[in-house]
Amino acid sequence: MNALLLTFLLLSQNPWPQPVKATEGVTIQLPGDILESPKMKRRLFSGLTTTIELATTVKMERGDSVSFFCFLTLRYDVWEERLLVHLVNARKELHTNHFDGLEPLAVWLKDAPILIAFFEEDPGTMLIKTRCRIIPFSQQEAGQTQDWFARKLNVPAAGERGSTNPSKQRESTGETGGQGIFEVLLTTSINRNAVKTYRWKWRLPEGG
Amino acid sequence: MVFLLFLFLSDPAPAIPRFPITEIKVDGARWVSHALVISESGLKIGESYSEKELALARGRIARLPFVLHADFSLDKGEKRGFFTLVIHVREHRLLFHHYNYSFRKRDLPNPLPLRGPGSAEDLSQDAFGNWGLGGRWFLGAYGFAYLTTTLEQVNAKLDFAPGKPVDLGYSHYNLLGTGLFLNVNLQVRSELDQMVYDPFSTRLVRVVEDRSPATTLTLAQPFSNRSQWISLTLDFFENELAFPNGDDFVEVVDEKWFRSSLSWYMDTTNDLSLPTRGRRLEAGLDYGRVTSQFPVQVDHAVEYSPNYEVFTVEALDLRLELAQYHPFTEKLSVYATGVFRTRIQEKGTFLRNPDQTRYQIRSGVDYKIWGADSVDGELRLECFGSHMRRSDDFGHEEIQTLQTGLVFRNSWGLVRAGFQYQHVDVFIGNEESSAK
Repeated sequence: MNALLLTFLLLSQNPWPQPVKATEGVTIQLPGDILESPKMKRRLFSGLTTTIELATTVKMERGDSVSFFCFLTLRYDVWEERLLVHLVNARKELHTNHFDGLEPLAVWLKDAPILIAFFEEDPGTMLIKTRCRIIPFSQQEAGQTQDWFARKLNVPAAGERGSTNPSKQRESTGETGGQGIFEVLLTTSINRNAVKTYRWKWRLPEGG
Repeated sequence: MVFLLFLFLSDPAPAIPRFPITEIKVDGARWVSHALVISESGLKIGESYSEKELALARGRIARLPFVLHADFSLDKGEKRGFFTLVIHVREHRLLFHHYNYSFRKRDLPNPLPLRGPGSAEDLSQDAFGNWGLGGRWFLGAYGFAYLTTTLEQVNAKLDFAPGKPVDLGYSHYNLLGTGLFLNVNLQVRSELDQMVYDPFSTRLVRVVEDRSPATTLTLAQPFSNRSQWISLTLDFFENELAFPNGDDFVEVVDEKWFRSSLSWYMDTTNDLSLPTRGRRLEAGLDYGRVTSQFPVQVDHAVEYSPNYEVFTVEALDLRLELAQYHPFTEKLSVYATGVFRTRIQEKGTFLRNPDQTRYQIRSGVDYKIWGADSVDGELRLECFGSHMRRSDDFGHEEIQTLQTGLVFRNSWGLVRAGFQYQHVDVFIGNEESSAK
C-alpha cells in the first residue's frame, strides 16, 4: 500500500518544476521523480550521503546575470531509521529536516519551496536556468564541503541569517560574479560525477 | 500533510558523520573470496571511517583487476551507533578479453629510413589490431591463477601474435597478512623468425629467436593506507639468436637477460581501464643487463671454445609517468598524461632497447554515449592527440598522433576500434627524413 502511494506521489510530480516569484525571491518545488529510480532509492538508503545540487543563473532584462547555488544532502540514518536532510538555500541558510521514509520526503519535495534565487528589488523579466545534479556524495572527495559544514557549526545562526554585512551582501547578490567562496567550495568539492543531471529553463515576466 | 515531518530546526550545522564499523560483509562476490575484497579495501573492523575514507576504500576495490563495480552501504551493527559495512561488488567473468583495432593513415618519410627493430614493417600497416584472451581461476582465499594469450590482426588477417606468446601466472594478495602483493608470471613463446634492424651495418638482418620461458616476479607493498605502493619487478630469460643468412658476423648468439624495476606509484583513479577521474603517478628506475656469448667466425670457419666472445651491456633508466583525469559532467571527462624516461647510465650499446630519452604527452576527451555504468555495458567515444619523441645514439623520431574511436566494455571485457592518423619524422644523425 505504501509502495503504491509512493509511486502515485512520485508519478504525480511534474518533472519540470514551475518557479514561483515571491517576495523573498524565486522558489521551486523539486520534482519527486528525481528520486524515483531503483538505483536512486538504493543509494538513498545506503546509509551514505547523496547530494542534490541546484546551480541557478538568472539573466535579467537589463542584460546582467547573477548566479546562485543551493543544495540538499540526504542520508538515511540506519539506527534512527529516518532520512536526514540538510538544505542550504540560495541565501546560504541551513535547514535540517528528518523524514521517516521516502513518502514524506516526496511530499516535502512536492510542497516545500526551495529558494533558488533572491533579489533586493524586483529585477523585472528574468530568464532563469537551473542545473540540478544528483551526486553520490559518499563517493566524492567531499572534504571541502564537509569543512564548510564544519565551519557553519562554529558560526552563530543569527550571524548567518539576515546579515547586513556589506561584503556578504555583495557576495550574495552576485556582484562578484557568483557567490564567492561559497560557489568555489561547492564547485571544487562536489562538481564531479553526478549520476543524473536535469536542466530547467524558465522565463518569468516582470512582477509575476 | 499528515505524512509530512517538516521540522525546520534552528539552523543546526550537520555533524561530519563517522561510522564505527563492527562487521564487514561482502555481497555479490561469486568467485573472489570475501577475505580478499576486505583486505584490499584497507578497512578494519573496530575502526571509524568518514564518508571520504569509505569512498577511497571503494576506489581501491574498484581498481582491482577482477572487479567491475563496487559500492558500499551501511547496516545496523552489533550495538546502537555501530555499523556493519556491506561491500557490493560485481566481478568480471572468469574468461575475459581485450580487443584493440585501428585503421591507420600515416604520413611517413619517403624513403622510410630503417630504424629500430621492425619499425619499417610496423609503420607500413594500414590496419592493426590485437586481441588478448584470458582466463582466471581463484585459488584459496587470496590468490588466483591466470592464463592469457594474444592474437594479432594485420589488415584483415588474424593470427597468433609473433611467437604465439602464452602467459601463465599466479597473483597473491595480502601475503602472510602483510598486505604484500606477489605475482609470478611465466611467458612461453615459440621460435620467432623476424627481420631486425642493425644500426651498425644499417640494414635489416634476419634473426631466428628461440627464447626460454621468461620468468617475471613482482612484489608490491602498499603504504599510506594503500594509496601508494612500492614495487619491485624482476625479469629473467635466456635467448638464442640464430642468423641464418650466413653472411653475418656471427651465426649464433646466446643471450642472458636480466631486467628489474623499482617503482613508487600512487593511484586515486576511479577505474582501472577507463578512468574518468583521479590521478596516477609513477616514478621508477629500470635496470637491464644482457650478457651475450657467441663463437667468433674467422674466415667462415667457426671456432669453438675457447674462442668465444662474451660481452655485457647494461642500462639504467629513470621513468616518470603522470596521468590526470577530470570529469566535466557525468558523461564527459578530459585527461592529460605524460611519460618521460631517460637513460642515466649505460655500459655498451643496448641495441635491443636503444632509447636514450623518450617522452610522450597525450591529451584527450572521453564521452559516454550509452550505458549507465560498466555493469551492464557501456559505450564511449574517445579522442586524443599525442606527441612522442624518442632518441638514441643514432638519431631520433618524432611522432604526432590523432586518434578517435569507440570503446565498448562489459563484464566480458573491452573492445576498442578507431581511426588513427600519424605524422612521423625521422632524424638519423643530423639528417632529417620527414613526411613533409
